[in-house]
Amino acid sequence: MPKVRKTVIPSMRILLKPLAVMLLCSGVLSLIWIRTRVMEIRYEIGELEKSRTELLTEQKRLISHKNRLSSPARIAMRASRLGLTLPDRSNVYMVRYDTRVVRVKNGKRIPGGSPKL
Amino acid sequence: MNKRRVTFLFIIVLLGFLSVTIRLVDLMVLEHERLAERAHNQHVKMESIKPRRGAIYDNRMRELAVNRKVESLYGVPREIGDPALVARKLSPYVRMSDRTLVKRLSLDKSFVWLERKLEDSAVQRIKRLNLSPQVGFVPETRRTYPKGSLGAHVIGFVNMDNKGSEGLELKYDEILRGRSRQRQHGMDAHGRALSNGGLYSGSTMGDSLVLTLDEDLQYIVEKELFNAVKKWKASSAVSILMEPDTGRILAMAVSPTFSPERPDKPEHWRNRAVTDVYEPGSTFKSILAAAALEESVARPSDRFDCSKGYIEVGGRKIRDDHRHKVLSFAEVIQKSSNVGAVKIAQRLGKNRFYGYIRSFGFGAKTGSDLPGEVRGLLRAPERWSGSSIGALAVGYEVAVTPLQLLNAYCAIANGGVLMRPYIVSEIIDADGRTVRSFSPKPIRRVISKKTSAILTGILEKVVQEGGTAVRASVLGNPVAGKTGTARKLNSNGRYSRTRYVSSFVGFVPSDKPRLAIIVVVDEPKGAIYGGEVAAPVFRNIAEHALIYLNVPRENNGNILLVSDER
Repeated sequence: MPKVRKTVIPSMRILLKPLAVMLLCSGVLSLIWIRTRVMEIRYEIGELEKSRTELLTEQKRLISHKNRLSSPARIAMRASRLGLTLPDRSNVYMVRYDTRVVRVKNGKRIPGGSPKL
Repeated sequence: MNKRRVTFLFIIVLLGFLSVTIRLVDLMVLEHERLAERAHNQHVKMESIKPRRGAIYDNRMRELAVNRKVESLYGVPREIGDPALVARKLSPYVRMSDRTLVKRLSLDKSFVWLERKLEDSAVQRIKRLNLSPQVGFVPETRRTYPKGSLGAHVIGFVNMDNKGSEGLELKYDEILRGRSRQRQHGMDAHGRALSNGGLYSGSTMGDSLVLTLDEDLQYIVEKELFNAVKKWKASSAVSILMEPDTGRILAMAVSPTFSPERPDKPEHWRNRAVTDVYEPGSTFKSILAAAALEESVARPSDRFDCSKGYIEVGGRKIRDDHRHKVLSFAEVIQKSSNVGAVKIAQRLGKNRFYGYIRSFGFGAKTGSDLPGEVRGLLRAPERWSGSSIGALAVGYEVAVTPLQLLNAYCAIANGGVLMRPYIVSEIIDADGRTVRSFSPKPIRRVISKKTSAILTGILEKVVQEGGTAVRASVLGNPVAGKTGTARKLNSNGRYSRTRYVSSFVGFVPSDKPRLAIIVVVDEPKGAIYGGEVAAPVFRNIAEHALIYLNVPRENNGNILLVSDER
């Protein structure tokens, strides 16, 4: 047993020092790298937040513009230019799905079903 | 010697380390708080975010009032060497004279407003002039109304500082306004933004309103009202569309209207549907009829002799416009006989009549959430003159708002329950979550279901052949309603012979009411009768609204049944 100790421990001691230095260096480098990446990502997020705000503003502007374009008064004005008029009540028909009628699917009779209008 | 040198060097190094350690202790322990705060201030910027006003939506979440980001132009007079030159460059974009602009730019100040809430195109052009730092921009929000003047009297508008000035914008200003907040974000040495994960300290947006108003129905009502004012050269007109069962106001329009983005004519801002009163004339006979039927002082078949053409009440003669013979109770209402109405009122008596008038909500605010509502004018019976009972029977000596009268008719339509009219159905926060919701509120039962059914049958006759409002009839569905033609009071206290208020109020389909509509046309020219002026407006509104609401014609006359049998 004592013989083994004499042969193994000195060789380990030689390796431990550079290993510790390497570990320390890599740890420090890793920390620096992580810190740099965090800063880079913070810049990226900052830029993304800025563009998100701009896009949201643009989206709101476009929705507002769409609402202006789709206002009933504007549609009525456009429609009258095209010669369209509001229908008389006698010309309006409501289409209702008749649930009493059965349809046949895969040989089975199913009452009603969703309207396909 | 060598040993002494080493010792000396050691002491020097030790002192060096010691001084560094002392300094570190000073920086990291003793001065920690002060320096940490200083560093924080250098790296973290607190930004004040201005409040954003909540939006206003119709019942289908279509935007009626929203905000738009704009920029306002300011000047820094202390930086300006030649105010005349800067003024000349800016004059095309600001709404002030060159002289005023020069004067403003010459002030001994470091900040003056030059133009608030500029259009985007103007901002871009000014930026191209490269006038910084003599002038600059401040971001602001502008209230915009995407549907233009639609519902302007209900929605109202805001002032330059986004504070509510009229309508719901004023009434719900506290809720809509929003709160300014602070937002912190990181900054590097060059002032570039560094995200810290978006640490907002809450939304700045105020709560939004969801109305019972329907954009399309509002448009239908406004269009018909505009056409009526134009056709009859009327001074103004009001119309309201309500759900009788719930008291939900689906449309409320006043003509002439105004643009809420440029409210330039203050005389048009009033929401006359709730702020102005008028004597309702014959439309008030329905209240009398309801009271008489409920108190069983008259039955529909009871007969009243109206052949004289007039009746004297308290020394005052009340005449019929057209001579009638002996009329049944129902015919008195159908033909709008003043003589018959006075006789019914005399049977009822002033105290009972007054009780029903109050019960139907006259002389008190309806409790709606519309600003500026008035209670109308109604005197207590002890202050009535000898002729008052006759005057009230035909809708004079009482002043009502169009909303009060329509609400009373809603009670007749829905089986006898007076509802509280309302126009805001929900308040939602910036994330769309409901903060508060409003539901239909019955105030009290005013007449029985039986009386309501009998009176509805009588009011249906008004719109049928032989009635005063044939032009209010709607193709495919029965209508119940009543016309009104009331003289206006002159400034000398006498009733005018040329100035009238023509009105029609009713509900459709009368057998299962979906809509109650009132149309009041003020001072029409060329025709005066409610059946001629207001009834056609009612019909047009009702027909288009019923199509829009998919209300089928009676007996399902316009329903096509389809199936997909295959």
